[in-house]
Amino acid sequence: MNACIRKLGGIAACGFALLAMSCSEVDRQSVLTPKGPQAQLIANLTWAMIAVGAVVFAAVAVLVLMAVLRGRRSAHPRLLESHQAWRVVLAGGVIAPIIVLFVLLVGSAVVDRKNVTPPPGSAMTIEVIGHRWWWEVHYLDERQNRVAVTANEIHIPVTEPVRFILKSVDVIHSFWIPNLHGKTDLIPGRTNVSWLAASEPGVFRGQCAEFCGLQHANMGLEVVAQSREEFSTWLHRQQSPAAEPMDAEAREGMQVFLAGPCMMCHSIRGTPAHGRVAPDLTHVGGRRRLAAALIPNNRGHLAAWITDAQRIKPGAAMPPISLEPRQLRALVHYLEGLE
Amino acid sequence: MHASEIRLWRKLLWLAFAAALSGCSDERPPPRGPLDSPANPPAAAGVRVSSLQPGEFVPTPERHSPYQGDPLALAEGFRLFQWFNCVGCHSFGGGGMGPALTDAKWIYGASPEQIYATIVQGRPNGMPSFGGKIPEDQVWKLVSYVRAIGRLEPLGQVNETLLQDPIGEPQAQGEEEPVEPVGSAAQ
Repeated sequence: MNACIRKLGGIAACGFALLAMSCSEVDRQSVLTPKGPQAQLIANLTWAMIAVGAVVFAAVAVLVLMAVLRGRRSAHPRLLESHQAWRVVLAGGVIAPIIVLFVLLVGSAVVDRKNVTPPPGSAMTIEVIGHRWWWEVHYLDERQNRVAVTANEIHIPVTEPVRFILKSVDVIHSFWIPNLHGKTDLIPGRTNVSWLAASEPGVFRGQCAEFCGLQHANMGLEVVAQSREEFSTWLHRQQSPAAEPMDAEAREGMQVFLAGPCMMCHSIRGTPAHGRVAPDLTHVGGRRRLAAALIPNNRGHLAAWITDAQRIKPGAAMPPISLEPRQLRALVHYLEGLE
Repeated sequence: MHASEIRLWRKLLWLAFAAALSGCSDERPPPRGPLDSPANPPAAAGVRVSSLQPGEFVPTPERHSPYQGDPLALAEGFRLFQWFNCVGCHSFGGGGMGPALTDAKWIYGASPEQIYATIVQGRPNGMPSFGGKIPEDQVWKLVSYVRAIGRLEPLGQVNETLLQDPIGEPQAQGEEEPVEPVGSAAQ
């Protein structure tokens, strides 16, 4: 009796967990909330497989219960004849699975075929290069020239297909925006191509989906789908060099940036800083998050990241930087002005 | 054996097991605190890079790298060597615009503190001054790497294939003296 109550309690807990999973925060990075054509197809296939699996599971559970309960009732349980038993095995264990699995195979093949269809040739192209543990993003024009560079945050025009060229400089990563598509690996020495389209505006969180080291779990990215006008404005701003420092404190911050270790790794176009091994900071002030979508982009988190990034993301290539409080304030003021 | 003896041996065995486990050391790097990176850090102060001195010879004070014999520091040094574009002038030790780092000739000295001073202060004819630009612990990692490719310290697994030369086997650690001993008595 106690065991039964405990089991029911466990089932109820699972039910509540499933309900909780449907709240809006999780929808931003959910395969079951498709916001693009490929993700829609994948989600449909997923639900179909779940339904088929649930039916099969229910049937098997019913059979098991029948066996248990009926067997307990009589002291002399009725056994099947040998030929009857073989018919049960043939029908339930061979023919039924073949039919079910064939249906699922056809469904899977149809979805796969649709998802590998290349985008129209006029699709905008974005080059994504995976590093440990951040995403280098280049926007390309029609002739595949790089026109804008940013990091960890990708903006796309809504409802338009966007082609992604995926590369890696070190180990295998994987590009995964659950709301929009499945996973495509970034393999060093190889170029993979994927494409997405967002069916509605919004912010969709993505994640590296191939274990790449200590901070694999903290290698996220965000895809922002906007209207065409908003996207054009944003891209134009990304193409332009960094904003000039507006006041004395920002000027001092720029001097701190250029005189210290920052410019050895980072670049801010429009200044002498041309480091290529770390994220481009030309428009860092306008990004939603920092450190590959790990922390929000505000003064406190930015100062913490500069001062001791190893506490936030141990193992990342960003070293702790020791600055006087006045210098740190000026540097943060300068960086948040780079929108 | 009595039951109490067996219990005693079992306790001793567990104790020995626990003691053996405590010998396992962590390959993680030591926790890094905030670092000072002035343009002329104290570690480079007083380092002499020439053996020519008037009057009595005063050896350079020894300063050991905090990463002596640390394989992780070697690997990090290899990464930083490319990261900060040392390969741009020195290639992977063979030199080019800059002198070779894999030969036995050290213009400004081969001891750890002398290499540290060279990186941090810069040198005439094109070696930039990286003081204040590269955090101090990363400079020490570069020092470890440069000494390793110069065959003054064991190289381990780091870029062995890049340094295979037909001349001879890598020299044993610390035994071979550089051609121009300068400054430090540590060699």
